[in-house]
Amino acid sequence: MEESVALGDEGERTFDAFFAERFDELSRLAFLLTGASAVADEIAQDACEEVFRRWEHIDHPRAYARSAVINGARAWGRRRTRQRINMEQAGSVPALDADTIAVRNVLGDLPQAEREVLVLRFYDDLKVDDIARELGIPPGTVKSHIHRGLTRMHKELS
Amino acid sequence: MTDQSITATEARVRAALHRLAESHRPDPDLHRANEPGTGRQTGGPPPSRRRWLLAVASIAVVGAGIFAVALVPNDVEAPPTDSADTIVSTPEPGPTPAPVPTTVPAPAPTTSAPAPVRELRFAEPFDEPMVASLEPDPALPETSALGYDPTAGHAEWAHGLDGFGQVWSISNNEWVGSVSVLDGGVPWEIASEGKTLTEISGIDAVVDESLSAVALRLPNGRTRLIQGFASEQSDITATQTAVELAEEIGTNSIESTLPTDRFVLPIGVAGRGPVVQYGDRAPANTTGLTQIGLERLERTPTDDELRWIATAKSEGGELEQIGPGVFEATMSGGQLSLVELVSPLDLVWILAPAGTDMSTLRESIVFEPLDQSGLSLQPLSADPTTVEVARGEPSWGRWQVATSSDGTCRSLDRAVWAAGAYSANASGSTSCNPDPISSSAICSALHDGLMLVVVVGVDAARITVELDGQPVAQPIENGDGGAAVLLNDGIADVNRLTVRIDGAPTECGPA
Repeated sequence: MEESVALGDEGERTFDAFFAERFDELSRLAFLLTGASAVADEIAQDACEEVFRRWEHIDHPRAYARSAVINGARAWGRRRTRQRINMEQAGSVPALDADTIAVRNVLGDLPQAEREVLVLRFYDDLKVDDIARELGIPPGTVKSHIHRGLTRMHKELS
Repeated sequence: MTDQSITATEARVRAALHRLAESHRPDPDLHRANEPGTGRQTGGPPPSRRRWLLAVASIAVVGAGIFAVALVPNDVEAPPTDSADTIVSTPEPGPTPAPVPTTVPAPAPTTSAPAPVRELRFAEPFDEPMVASLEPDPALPETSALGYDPTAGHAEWAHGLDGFGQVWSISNNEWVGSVSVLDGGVPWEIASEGKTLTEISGIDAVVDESLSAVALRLPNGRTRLIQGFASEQSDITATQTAVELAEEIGTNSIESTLPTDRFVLPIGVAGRGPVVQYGDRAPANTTGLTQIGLERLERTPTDDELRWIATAKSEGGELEQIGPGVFEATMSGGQLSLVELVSPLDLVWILAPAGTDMSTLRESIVFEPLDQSGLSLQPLSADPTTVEVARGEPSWGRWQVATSSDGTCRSLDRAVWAAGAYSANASGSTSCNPDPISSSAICSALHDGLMLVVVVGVDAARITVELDGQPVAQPIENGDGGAAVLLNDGIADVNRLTVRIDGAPTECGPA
């Protein structure tokens, strides 16, 4: 990888810099979407590979990688024959507080689409319109997913 | 939840998500071994937007007249190639439904080319009515040859249905589900009673997870039911698909909201050929049937369209292309399906029990002119009562009386609204006599102990209905060509029901 490849839009001047700065973030996103620590790195790495292949043609590598992670998580979920994602199977998990455990459990129960929306909204802090664009769904659907997801979370956290 | 509790929950969820994310420790070695090309191919380009394709627009509705047929427009301008959301067409609600040639359109500007004609079984479309059957028979006896009865749709208004459309959901160029749009006569206040109300795009709505559906209040005060079906490959649930379409079309007609395109697959009266059925037809063993059908397409489908048709036929089953224009699929229950484009405009499909050797079955398909096949066609429904004589829409629902052209058969169709039900509880019955039916009164027992009394050709003011000699409390309401009353109180305990016209008792017969 040469240092002179095209610039990214978020300060990553090279793919190496992008990888160094974003890999953990992408892996954690994959972890939240799959609940599986063991595959999160793999999905994130595949996403980075996609970014690498298209580095010279991508204006927004971070957004592109995020989409690739979402697709990777979906593909992994389909291979798991759509069974409920068990967040507790995520390898060795540090001790978590009650709120985190509750959120983890609800997240594992949610349909994939709602899980994606909640993670993008409250972990990646994306706005509704950005999530809609990212996932290719209407903003109203994003809002309804957020509402339903938060209602579930509220009950679990109460 | 209150605004305050929502904000508090958001904050807790946000904090918990970050803590949960921090609990995942990415492999530090990957930072050193980040050579691209070592990972599996699980990534991919950003997801494309979902597209909607009209699958069926089966009932169009006309504003006046009985049994007039309205065609769904099929000449709407095609969408631009970069349009992510596409197509659709649904009928406008109206007073009179009618059976209509129905079709499946698909976008003209697809990237794939039509299937190559030279590789199909027949280079030219069939030029006469044909039937596809299997030789030798895969099972005996051959129980029936089925067709479509174009008269079967005449009672849809009386069954509470004003309009129907079906839309395919296409995501990443794959068929991922279908959504039906039913415009019904049920008043919104009745349909939504006891439900949790919400709003979708500013329209009163109910999201019903148990039905994978969304109900919307139509501008005419009635109810639209949008019900989804998602394939197992779909990333979103059937309910979410229904919600998305509801957001897209609201209460508008489908074709006015989403750009429609040329139709491809006729489903219904026009184009649908006979279906030949082999095996045990017992209801408990329906998956033991082998069925083969032939359909005439509106135009040659593209490869994508053909794949979507095959996927839809198999209800989203696992699809495999086994030859040019030939797709085989395993459905969720193990049933097998096969779709083959046999000519530029003719498509044959087979549904067969699990374990069937589909290659052998495919080789045994025989195409013959219908009149030379020796098959005896039995219509799905042979209701002879096509002449409507009276109908009405009182507060409790709808009713309609029709007769056969020779007057020897008479039918009564009715729809009753029920609190919390988005569609009507509908039923119908037909009776035939050797001689033309002369009685004007019809007494028909319905579900839940209800009794419907209809008197044809008589004004309500001239009618009296008595239960054990006592006039009924319910109002007798005029319709068009007759009057009716729905009896719902203690009818089971009544010994004698008398219908009088101008004070004189009259025979109250079945439909």
